[in-house]
Amino acid sequence: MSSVYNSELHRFVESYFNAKAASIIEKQENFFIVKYKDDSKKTYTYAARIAAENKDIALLAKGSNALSNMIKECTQIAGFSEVDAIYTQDTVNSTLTKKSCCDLCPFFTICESKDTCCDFCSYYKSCNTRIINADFVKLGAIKESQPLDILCFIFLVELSNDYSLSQKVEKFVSVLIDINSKKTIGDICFESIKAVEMKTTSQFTSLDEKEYQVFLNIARQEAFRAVKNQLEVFKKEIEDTLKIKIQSIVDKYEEEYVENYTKSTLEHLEKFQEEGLKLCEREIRGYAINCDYHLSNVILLHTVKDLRNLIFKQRNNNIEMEIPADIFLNRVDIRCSECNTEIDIGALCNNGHIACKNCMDICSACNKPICNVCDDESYICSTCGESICSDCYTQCASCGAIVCPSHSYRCITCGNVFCIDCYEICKICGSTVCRNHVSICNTCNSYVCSEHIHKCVVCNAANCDEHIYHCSQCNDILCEEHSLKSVYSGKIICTKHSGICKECNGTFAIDELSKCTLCGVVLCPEHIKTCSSCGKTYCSEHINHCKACGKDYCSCTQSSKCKLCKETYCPSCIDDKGLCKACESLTYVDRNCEEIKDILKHIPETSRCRKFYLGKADEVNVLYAKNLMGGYLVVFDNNKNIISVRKINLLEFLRTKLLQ
Amino acid sequence: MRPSSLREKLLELYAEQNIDSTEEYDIESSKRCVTNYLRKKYDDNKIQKILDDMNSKHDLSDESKEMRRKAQLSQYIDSIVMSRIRDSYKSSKVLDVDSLDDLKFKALVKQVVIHFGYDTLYIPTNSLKNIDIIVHRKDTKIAVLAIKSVPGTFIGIKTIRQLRYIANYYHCEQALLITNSHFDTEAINEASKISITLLDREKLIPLVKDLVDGRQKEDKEYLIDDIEEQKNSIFLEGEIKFPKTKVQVVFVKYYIDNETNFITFEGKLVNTGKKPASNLSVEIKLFNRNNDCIFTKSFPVNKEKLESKEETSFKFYFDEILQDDWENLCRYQLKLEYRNTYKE
Repeated sequence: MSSVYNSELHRFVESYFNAKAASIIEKQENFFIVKYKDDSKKTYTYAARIAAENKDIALLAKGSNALSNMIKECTQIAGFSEVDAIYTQDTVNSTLTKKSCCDLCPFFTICESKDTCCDFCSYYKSCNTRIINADFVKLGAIKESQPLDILCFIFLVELSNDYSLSQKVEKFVSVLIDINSKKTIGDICFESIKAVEMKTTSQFTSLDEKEYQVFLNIARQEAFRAVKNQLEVFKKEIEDTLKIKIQSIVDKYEEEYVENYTKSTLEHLEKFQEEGLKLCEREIRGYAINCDYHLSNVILLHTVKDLRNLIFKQRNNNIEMEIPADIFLNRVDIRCSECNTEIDIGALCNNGHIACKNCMDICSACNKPICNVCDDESYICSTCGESICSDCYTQCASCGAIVCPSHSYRCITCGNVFCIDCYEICKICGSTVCRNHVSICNTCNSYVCSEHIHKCVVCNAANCDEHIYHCSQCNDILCEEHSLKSVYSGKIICTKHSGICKECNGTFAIDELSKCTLCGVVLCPEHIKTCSSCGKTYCSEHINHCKACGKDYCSCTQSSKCKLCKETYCPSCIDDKGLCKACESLTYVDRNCEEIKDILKHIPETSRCRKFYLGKADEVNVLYAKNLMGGYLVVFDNNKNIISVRKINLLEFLRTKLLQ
Repeated sequence: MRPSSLREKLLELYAEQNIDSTEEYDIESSKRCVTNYLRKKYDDNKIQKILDDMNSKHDLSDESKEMRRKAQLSQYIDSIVMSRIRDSYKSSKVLDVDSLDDLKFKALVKQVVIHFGYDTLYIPTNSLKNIDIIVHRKDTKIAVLAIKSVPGTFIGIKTIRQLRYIANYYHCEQALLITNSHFDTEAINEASKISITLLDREKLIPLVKDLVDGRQKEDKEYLIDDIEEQKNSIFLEGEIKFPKTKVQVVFVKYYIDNETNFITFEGKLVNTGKKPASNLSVEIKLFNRNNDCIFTKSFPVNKEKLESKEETSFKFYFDEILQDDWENLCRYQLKLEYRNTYKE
């Protein structure tokens, strides 16, 4: 028994009977008896079986007539309660924070970011009161207090378009009416009413039914006004779909009208037009928005409307200040010290003035409010156009323009601050330099700071890091025009440390040039010759060159002549028989051998010979073209240039070749 | 009310570009936007430095998304107002301008102005603090501002001056201030002097009626007349530099004086601060088409001290500019200098 009578359903049923001044006089296992105020009695049960067995017992279960009637009755008359509504430090604190978007915002159904409340909503100002640079600390002294009896009507409003779009929006709308003045008071959305702290009251207010009906009518009108904005958006949402549908109906009927024009009678055509019109009307009816207001709850609030100081602490300096505010339930209204309008977002100046967003300028650099009441001067940055306070502005040292800290540029050389017109950026290091201390590169015309500009030692022209050269010998700075490049090694050199080769006329670093020991001519590494024996340097005229081994040798070494080819070589290339390396290595080759083909063409006599012998050294080749008794000995270099040709008979050849 | 800052201009650009992250923005158009704002071509590195600084300080991407969202909602509001106008026409009921909230009122005013044949030139995306629309008709550029206030209240001289200040910034010859309430006498007197046309409740309601009924009956009576023609005229793009904000140029005009044939600048200054200002001077620089400053002159204002809320007018001329040089002139820059006495 206890489980049935402890249920949520039973509690609702019990409170329903209490509200109707009836009472449960008997509780049995399966049923209970209720006595009404007219002394009539009725039996109810929660068990379907009991109700089925006994027709005098009414069933209270989901879908049963008795319970449905109870619920219907409750929703029609709404709940009524009488409470004391008070505000506390916590409720005021929660009021002074940014709100989440409530479903009363006209754009709630279509807005992408409806999680945050924004000033596009017509309720924004009444819902939001925030001080951006101070925190609420505590409640201060009360200046004025006005007790109020407020009737709070809470409606459940349903916007629906079930027929064609299945759209349905449900929302709670609260309307507050002052009983004494019979006027609506303080736009407070339902979410805020929910957060109001309510306590059981000892007062009991009697309300005449006629008077109540007047209040209810005012409340209904106000609820309609609250929803009207959203209704318009809702209407707009389905308007486009409807337009397309109507247009398609009109198009279809127009088409058919044209088709049937010649075939039909006037009566028939008129009927046809009417049919189209009816179809359009039906479509429009289908898209109509139903707006239902269900009174959900009525609360009589005994509360106060206070003019009271609120104590705020400024975030940047922790100074506490008292700000007068109107406090009513969950609504805190603070007025702008300059224009006296109620603020939604405001800022608190150091002297305790509050300014609304239209009257306040916030310093873009330090976020300090620039107070108009205190007559604080504000400045406008000549670059970005943002407002700056007198503590944060700077003036360009050159032209006097006012700039904010973000757009003031300090010269790395002189340390002064300059505006965008009077500073330049160093191309190399990106640092800021004023016009007085910036230099321009002569080559690329870019601005460069003093650290990255250099002067050519020759012409004094200034060039940036990218366009200067250092002499590899003395490390002097040179411009492009006065820097020389060694043809041999590519080294950069100045004119002082460069020289010209007498042979090729090329420019070389001074350490790359050498002098001939005999004649003193200066030559580059390509054209200077070094004796392989003593290591002294010579020009090509004063040194001997051995074609057999390719080495140079000077007068320190006696040259020797080959007995066979009669050419001169260094002593190391002549063997004991007095023959050079080429003559020593003579071996038989075919006449079609590529190496001798050209030679045979140039010396036609040799082509008549029968056998050919070729000997090779480093830079020289010897061809012995042999006939029966005679022959030719041709000496030629690797480029097939003939050095010497000589007739030689077989005996002489054999004697020279074989005998020591 | 103050002119748009560079950040707001960039936000407008980003909102138009409709891109999700800062990296995706067209860097070239951002640079162009900065150059246009600064009215001078600077080195690319300098522009880049400004953009980098702006991006490091603000989340322009997020802010532009928010702006885009609001712009979409504005379009919604426009279409809701259009529906209201249609409903009003169908039901033959007067459109109650007081029942509209701020944004819808601004949207209605926009429709009124467009209905009377003004062509839209520019609609600022972030219109709440500034002007609502810039229109033109018969070669006159007009800044329009709508103010919805509680009926019975009066709009004062401060708003009139601020509108002139913003209209100057946008180079508008005329300005139109429309409200559902009334203007005080000071405001009406000031407006007539500084080319601002005021439309109060009594003038607005017939215009709204005309809009609802699709007529243009009240147009000639209330809206802006043509500007008078001058014998010799030049056109200069103007820029007013306000390094400080207390003393403001509420009105400035330039013309060729018919008698002397000199380029003459005429205007009015007002001290909006609460303390006097001294050592007032107006510097005017004239630029040629290459953006080189070719004439510059600093004129001290004939007023030793400008008290709080006090006005003074100025009139200067450039007698050294020959008529042949007029065609080379392209832009003028006016810079106001003064000293706040309380700082001494």
